[in-house]
Amino acid sequence: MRHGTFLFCAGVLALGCGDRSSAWDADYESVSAGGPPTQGLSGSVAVRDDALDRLVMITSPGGRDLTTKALPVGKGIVYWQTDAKRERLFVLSEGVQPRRERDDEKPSLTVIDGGGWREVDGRAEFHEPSILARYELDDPPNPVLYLDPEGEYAVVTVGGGVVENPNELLLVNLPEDGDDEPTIEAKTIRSFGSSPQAISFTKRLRFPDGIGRRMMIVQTEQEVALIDPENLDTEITVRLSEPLNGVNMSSPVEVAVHDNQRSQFDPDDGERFPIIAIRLRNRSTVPLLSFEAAPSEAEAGVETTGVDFLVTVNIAEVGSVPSDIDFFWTEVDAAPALRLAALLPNRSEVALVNPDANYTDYVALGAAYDHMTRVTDDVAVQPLNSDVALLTGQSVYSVAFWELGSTGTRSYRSLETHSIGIPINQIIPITQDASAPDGEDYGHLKLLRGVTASEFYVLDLNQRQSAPMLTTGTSGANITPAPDGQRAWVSVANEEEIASVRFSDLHPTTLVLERPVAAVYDIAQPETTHGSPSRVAIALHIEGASLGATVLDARAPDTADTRFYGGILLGGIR
Amino acid sequence: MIRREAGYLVASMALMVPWVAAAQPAPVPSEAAPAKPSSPATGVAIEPGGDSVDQAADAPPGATWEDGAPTEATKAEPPAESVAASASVVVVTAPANVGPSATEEEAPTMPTLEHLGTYQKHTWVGTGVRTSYVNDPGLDPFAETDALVRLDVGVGRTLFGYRQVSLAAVLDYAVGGRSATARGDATTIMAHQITVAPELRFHVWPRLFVFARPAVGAEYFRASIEESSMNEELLQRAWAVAYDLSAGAAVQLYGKVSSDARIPRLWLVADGGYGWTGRVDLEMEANDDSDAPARSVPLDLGDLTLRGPQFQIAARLSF
Repeated sequence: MRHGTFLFCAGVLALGCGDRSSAWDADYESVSAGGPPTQGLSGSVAVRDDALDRLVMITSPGGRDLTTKALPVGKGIVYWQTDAKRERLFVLSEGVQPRRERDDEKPSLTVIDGGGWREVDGRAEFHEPSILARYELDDPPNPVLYLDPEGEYAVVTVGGGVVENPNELLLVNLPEDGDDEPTIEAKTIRSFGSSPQAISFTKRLRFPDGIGRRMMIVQTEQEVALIDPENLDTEITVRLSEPLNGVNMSSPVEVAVHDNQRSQFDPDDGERFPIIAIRLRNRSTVPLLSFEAAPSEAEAGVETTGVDFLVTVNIAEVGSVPSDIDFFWTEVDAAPALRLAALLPNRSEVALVNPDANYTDYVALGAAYDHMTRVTDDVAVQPLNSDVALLTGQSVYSVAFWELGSTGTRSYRSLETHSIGIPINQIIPITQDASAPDGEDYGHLKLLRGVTASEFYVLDLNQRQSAPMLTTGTSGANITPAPDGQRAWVSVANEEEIASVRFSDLHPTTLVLERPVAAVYDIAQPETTHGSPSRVAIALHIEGASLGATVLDARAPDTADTRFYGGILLGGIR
Repeated sequence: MIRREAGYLVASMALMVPWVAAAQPAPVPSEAAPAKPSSPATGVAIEPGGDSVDQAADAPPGATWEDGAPTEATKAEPPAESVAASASVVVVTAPANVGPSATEEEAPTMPTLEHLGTYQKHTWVGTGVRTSYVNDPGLDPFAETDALVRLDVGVGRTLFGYRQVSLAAVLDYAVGGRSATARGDATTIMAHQITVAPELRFHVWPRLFVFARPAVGAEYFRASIEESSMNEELLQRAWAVAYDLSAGAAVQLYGKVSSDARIPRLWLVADGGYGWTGRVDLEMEANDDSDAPARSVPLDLGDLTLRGPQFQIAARLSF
C-alpha cells in the first residue's frame, strides 16, 4: 500500500511539473544603453525587448489597426540604429560572453528590413518587417556602427579582449535583399600609432586610373585613410602626425569630399578628379588632397597601396580656425567653379579657397555663423552654375541665405540675413520616402531648433520666411518629421500632449492623449486612399513593465478617432 | 511553483489520512464466512443469487456488524443439526434460546456481490481535489506550471442495479484557478465547471467498486490581467462546453457492513481521465465602467482550452 501511495503521488506530481515559457517571467527591461528604446522606420516602429532578445515590430495593416511581429536578434544588444532612409535596422549583439559551450551564441550583427513602402519595378509596394541577414562575429562588438548612406556597407569594430586590434575594421557587404549571401571582411588599416575615430563613405568617384571607386574614409587621431571597400588592398593614408609641405598638422575632425564633376564642363578641357579637404582641430590650415594621372609616387606624408596615380597634398591657409568646411560651386566668368568654403566664426567671415590656384577670398558675413548647409536642391529657383547655402550659428540670432556666384567685384551673388528668435544648433531636414503623395514636396522647409529654447522655427527657403512654433514649457520636445515629409510630430517625454504641424499650411494640432507619451512615430499603411498610401501616427506609452500605443490618423489627427492598444510586449511569446 | 502544486497534492492526500486511519481492517463476509443470520422467526429461505437481493433488502434487520466484525450474538454458532445448506439454498433454523429475540434485534443482511443492497443503491455527496494537467499555451500567462487544481463537489444517486453492475447519475461542480504574473502584470484565471454524467459501476467487492464516467457540461472562465500601460484590469469571461471521461475506483473507509440499512458510509474515491473544454478566445477587455482609454482594443492573449489528463481524489458520503 505504501508503494502504491508513493507511485500515485509521484504520478500526480509529475502531471503538475510542466513549466511555461520563461518569457512570461521576463519583465520588460528599460533600455539604458546602446541607443533609444524605440526607433521609427518608414513603415514600422521597432521596440527593443532586451529581456527576450528580440525586437517587436509594429506595423499597421490599415485603419487604426496594429499588428506586431517579434524578430529575434542576438543576446545582449550593445547598439542599434536605422539607416539614413529609415528602411533597415542594424542590431549589434555581444552574444553569450564568455562562451563556454558550442551552442553559446556568438556576437552578431542582425540586419532587419523594417518594412514599409519600397519602390519595386517602378511601383511602390508594402513589405512586412523581416530579418535580412545575420553576421556572426568572433569578438564582442564595440557599441558603434558606421553605415554607408547608400546602403552597401556597414563597418563594425570589435574589442574588449585581452588583446585587441583597434585598427581592425570588419566591413560588412550588406545584401540588397534576403537572398544575397552575406559577406564580411576584416581589414587592418595602416596605422602610425592611432586608431579609428570616425568612418564615412563617399559616393562613386572617378580616379585618374580610370576606375570609379567608392571610398571608405577612416579618420584616426593622426591620419586620414581612404580605402576602396571593393578592394581592401587599395589604401591611401595621409599622415597628419608629420608636417606636410613644412606645415604642422593636427587631428582631423572633418573630411569634405567632392567629385569635381559638372555637366557643363567640356571633356576636351581635360579630366577632373575628386578633391578632398580635411579640417583639423585648432588649425587654420586645411590640407587639400587632389589626384593626378601620373605614376604613383610617394609624396611625403602620403602612403599609397594599390593605386596607380599620384596623390598630392596642398595646404590652404584660411586665416582662422574654421568651424565647418564644404565644397560649393560658385560662378566665375559665367562658368561653374569649385571652391572650398571654410566658415570662420572668429572673424565672422567665410573663406573661399580656389583649390586649383590655392587662392583664398573672404566674404564678410556680419555674424559668427558656424554651420553651413547646402540647400541648392531644396529651393525652387536654382542658380545655373552655383550653390545656395544656409548659414546658422549657435550664438547667432539670425540665419543667412548665401547664394554663391559672383556679381561685379563680389565673389558671391547675395547674402540675405533674417533675424530669428533663437540661436540654432540643429537643422532638421524634411525628406520624403516612397509613400509621399505626388506634388506635395516640402523639401524647401527646414525645422530649426536651439538647445534650450521652448520654440522652434519652420524655415521656408523659397519664401525666405521663418515661422515660429511655440512649444510652451517643452524645451525638451522631440520634433520628428514624418517620413512622407507632410508633417512633423512634437512630443515631450512623459507628457500626455502631443502636436502635429501640417506643412501645407503650418497648422498645428494639439492632441491630449489619455496616457503619457514616450515617443510618436508616423508610419505608412498598406492601404491606399485616393491612390496614395494612408498613414497612422503611433504614440507609444511605456508604463512600468508594459508598452501601450495610441493610434491616430496621421493626416487628420483627432482624439475622438483613436484606438488604444495595451500590453503590446505580451504578444509573440506563445 | 512546483512546490505549491506538490503542497496541494500532499494536503489533499493528508485529508484522506484520518479516514484511512479510521477505517479498521475488517473481515469481509465471503462464502467461507459464517452463514448469514436470517430471520430466526420465519426461517425464510434466501437464495444468494437472482432476486434474493431485493428480498434481502426487504427483510427486517437482524443482528448488526460493527465495521464488519460480527457481534457476540452473531458469533454464536448455531447447532450443527439445525443448519442445512446446499449449493443454492441455505435454510436456517434459529435455535430456540440462542441470540436476540426478533423483537430485540434483527439479523443484519450481509453484503455479497449478489446481494449488495445499499452498498450499491444509495445517494451520495462527495468532495475532492481535482488536478488537471493543461498543456495548453493559453494557460501560460496565468499559471507558472501546467497544473490546474480544483475543488470538486458532486452529488449522485444510483438509478439501477443488477448484480454487480449499477448505473448512477452524477451532478458535479468543480471550481479552481491559478494566478501568476505575465511579464510583470498580475494575472488570474478561475474556471467553474458543472457537468452531469452517468456513472457505470462494477462492484469488485462489496466495499470496492470501479466505475467509468463520461460527463458533459459547461465551463465558465474568468481571466484577468492587470495591464500596466492601461493601468486597468482587463477581463475575459466566457462559457465553453466541457467533456470529461474518467474512470476510477472507490473503496469504503467507514460505515457499518450491512446491505440493507441506509446507513452513512464514507468512501475514498480516486479517478483519472481526460478533460476537454471548448476553445475560448482570450480577448482581454476592460470593464465598461473602468478608466481605460477610449476605444481600447482587447488585448489578445491567444486562446485557451483546458484540455488534458486529470486526477481526482475525493471523499464520498453515501446514505
